[in-house]
Amino acid sequence: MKTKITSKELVAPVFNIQRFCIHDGPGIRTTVFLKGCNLACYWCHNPESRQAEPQLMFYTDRCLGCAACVAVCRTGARRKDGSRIVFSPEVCQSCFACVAACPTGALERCGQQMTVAEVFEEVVRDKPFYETSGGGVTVSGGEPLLYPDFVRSLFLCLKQEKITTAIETAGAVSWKNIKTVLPVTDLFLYDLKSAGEKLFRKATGGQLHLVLENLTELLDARTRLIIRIPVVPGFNDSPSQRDLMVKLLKKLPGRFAVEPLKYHQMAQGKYRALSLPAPRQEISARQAEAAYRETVAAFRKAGLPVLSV
Amino acid sequence: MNKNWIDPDFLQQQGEWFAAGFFEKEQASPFRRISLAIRRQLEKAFLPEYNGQEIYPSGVNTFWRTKNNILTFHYAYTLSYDRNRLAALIETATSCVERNQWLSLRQALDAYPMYSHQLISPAYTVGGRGWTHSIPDYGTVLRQGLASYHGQLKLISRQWPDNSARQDLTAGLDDVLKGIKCLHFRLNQKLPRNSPLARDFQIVPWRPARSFRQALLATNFIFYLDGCDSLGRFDVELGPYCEQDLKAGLITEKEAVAWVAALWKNFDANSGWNVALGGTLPDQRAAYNRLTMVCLKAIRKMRRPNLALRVRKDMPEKYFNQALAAIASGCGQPAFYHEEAYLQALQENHLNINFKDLSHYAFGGCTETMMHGMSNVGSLDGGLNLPGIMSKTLQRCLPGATSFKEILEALKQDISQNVSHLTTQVNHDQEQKAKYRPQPIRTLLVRDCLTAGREFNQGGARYNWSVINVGGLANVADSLAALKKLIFEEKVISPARFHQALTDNFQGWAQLLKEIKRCPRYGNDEDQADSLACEIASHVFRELTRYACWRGGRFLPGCLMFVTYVGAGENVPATPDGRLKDQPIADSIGPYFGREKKGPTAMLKSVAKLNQKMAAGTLVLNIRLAASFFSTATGRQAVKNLIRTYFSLGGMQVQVTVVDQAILKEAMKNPEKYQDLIVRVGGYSEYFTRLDRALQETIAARTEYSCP
Repeated sequence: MKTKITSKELVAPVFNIQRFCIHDGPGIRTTVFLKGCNLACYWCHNPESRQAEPQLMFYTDRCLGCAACVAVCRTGARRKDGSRIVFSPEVCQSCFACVAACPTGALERCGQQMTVAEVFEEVVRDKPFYETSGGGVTVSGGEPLLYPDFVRSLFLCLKQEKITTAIETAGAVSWKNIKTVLPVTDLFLYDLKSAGEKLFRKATGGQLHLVLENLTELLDARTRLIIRIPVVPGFNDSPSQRDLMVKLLKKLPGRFAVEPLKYHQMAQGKYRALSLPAPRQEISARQAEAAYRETVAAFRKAGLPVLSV
Repeated sequence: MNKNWIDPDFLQQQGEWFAAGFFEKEQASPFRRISLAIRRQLEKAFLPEYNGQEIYPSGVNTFWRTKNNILTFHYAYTLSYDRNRLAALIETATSCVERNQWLSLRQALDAYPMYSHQLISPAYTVGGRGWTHSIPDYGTVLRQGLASYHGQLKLISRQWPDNSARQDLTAGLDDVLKGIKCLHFRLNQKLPRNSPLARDFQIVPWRPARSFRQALLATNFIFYLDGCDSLGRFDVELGPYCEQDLKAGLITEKEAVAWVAALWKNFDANSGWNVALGGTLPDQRAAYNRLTMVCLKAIRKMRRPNLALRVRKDMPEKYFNQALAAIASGCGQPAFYHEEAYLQALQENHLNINFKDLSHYAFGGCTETMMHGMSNVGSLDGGLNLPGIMSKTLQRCLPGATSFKEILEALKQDISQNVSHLTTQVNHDQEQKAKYRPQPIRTLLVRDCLTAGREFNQGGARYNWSVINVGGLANVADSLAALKKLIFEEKVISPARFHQALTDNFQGWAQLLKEIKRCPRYGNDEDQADSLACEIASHVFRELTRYACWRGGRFLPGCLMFVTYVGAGENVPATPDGRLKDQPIADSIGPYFGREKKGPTAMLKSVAKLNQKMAAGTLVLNIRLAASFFSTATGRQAVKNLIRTYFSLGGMQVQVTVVDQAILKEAMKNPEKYQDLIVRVGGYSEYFTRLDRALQETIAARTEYSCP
């Protein structure tokens, strides 16, 4: 007989399980962040989620310069340069010996292969809070639909516990992946980043038509769905882009809600920690707020069902 | 002339009215003497000026002050004696007669057993020492008027002509009533003639109150008279008056809010204590009324009283919303209490509460559970410093320990022994108190003392129990978890070496401290640590409830550290959880600072695992949330759901603090201590200390705007 991996032994790279999330669907939720993404949006606020492999995050402001990490590094990726510690990611072999050695937590390992059972055990803990608040579990990323079998299996476990499920996705995956999770997913938080094919490709590296086809299919299937639109100043907040978006939303069949998301620069530190170049554009909080407000107003005016904070 | 004779006239001249009364009939019983002292004091007491406030009296309570405050009245200890001030008076005496008088006063006062609470050894004073908060039965005063007490006294005196104790009691209370009458008359003189306020104040508290303002004035007067303590079920007592006047259009809600706010200001000026709102009526209906709402509106930005909102399952949402709005104003008020759990716990704890009275539980002081207007509850009589007890146990048995169970059993045994010592000392104090420091005002104003013909401190009140504070549970749980894991499971260190590290206060043991940090910690929903916390907590609670109090009733455990946890850590050696010598112990029943890393849901689950119903004296839980949680409907809903879920899991009390900018700044300086601090950033919530520096600064700046 062939040995078969049972569904609970499926693994996926997880970089965070965050309890008490209140902005990823209704009620009090636990969000599971899966690592790995097939888009590369330039404003990405979870840059640690792009790569599926585990990564080392180095928070320089917590570093004492004690060089405990240099002592344990086998490849020389961590070197002492004067009083500072420098890191060369290209040499690092991700053994994470330095994380264990660091006394202040300036070094963190981001990403870990976890089985469905392990994730389930963690997310089921807040069940009483889901019950009171009408919350549940959200799987986010990265792009969680790169791991459809894992998500399906996790959601099946949750369904047995009568816990509601949600997926936060950018939708740029094959329909097959979505179909796998469709029967066990109560809510889709579906990102729609722009309404123009060219602009979409330029900013994210993905294909908009795939996103839209999947979206239409989902709406046809009468799924509960919230379209989430990150309002990124300088990208999709111009009146023409907004009109295009309104037109597109108006054309969509079925029922859905629209939730514009305010842009924020909370990820700057994470870019630094990953030794990645930060988004080139400087966007002030005021700019982001204004763009968000205008978008909400425009959508409301157009008669779209807008959710806003 | 007898050298030691104290001349009351001299004391009167010197403005020591209380002492004058106390030495007027030196041969009489302490009860008569103190009653007379109260009368003389009230006849001459300093009165606050009326400056157009909504209610009168107002401001700092001067009723019990004398010129030099040598001997004054205090609601918890009855007598308060300033020996140093007296020594200074002796030094500066201008004449021989004066000097002799002061000297003999000192001699007499020194001989009087004034401070029996000192019988409770300092080791057992975490949070309190022979203190007695109480709630006067002002409801009866509102409904019947103080004048009715005269008749009652006469009746009792006539009924038992041969019972000297009762004759003593009625004669003393007669003095007190005369004193009150005089005080009331004098206060009336201060008010502008024929003003509405003066007209109302002429009626109450002697005759029954007929309007909301009259009821409020009477309550305020009783509050001052009692010494500015707690008022219990304020909205239940005054609610009918308020609703009737609102309905009749005699007052507007705005006026009601202003008046109640004036009363809250009086609480603030005198550091008055607790007021309980809502809950259940004796007929099992919900007790929320329009005055509940007024009280919640009036508490915005106020420090006192400690408002306790009793949350029933069917409490209308608007009260919850108003409560959150008050919290968002930055005052951290009200605290939330789980109604159903309290009712059940009070029934189950062998407190012999009459079912009709059950719904009248309320809180005195910080949050010590007592019955509204009918109890004398030692709150707080004393406290157990668990980390202190544990370090003595470890000192003795850690070096030679062979198993974890051995340590655990030794600790439990030590706890039992300490409980036994503590209860003996508290009972001794209660006995002495009854003998030498009777409390005439509370004998008059607390239910059953009169009808039973028994003084308040003798156990005259209907309910007597003693709330004992249990401090530092989190430290003990974390310590035991660390010992268990590092010594007996992973065997990374020997018991003797661990003991050495404790003796060295972890100096030079950086690696061990790091190892300790990765051990399971209470507050993270991890059973390894939580189960130890449960085991220890249940043991302490069970031990305490085994003993009876001298006055009657039982010892009732609670955990209410408020600000005392800092001082409680002094002189406690380093503990195995990585807490250094002299550092604070845990804040109430919650996890140790900065050790909960999985957010509020995990923390609440951990705490709810304790058998809270065994500790109806109130287990206080502080939860800190950022102000931004309160600025959106989603955030407020989440806070509500957190609280409701905690209650559904068996939690009994929780108080929410809105984190202000100062704390954020502090968190930037000492991130270690604020690992649990949550702020809303962008569209999601994040731990403040995990954000990078620049971002922290922006949030600190931003919060200033959202929390004016």
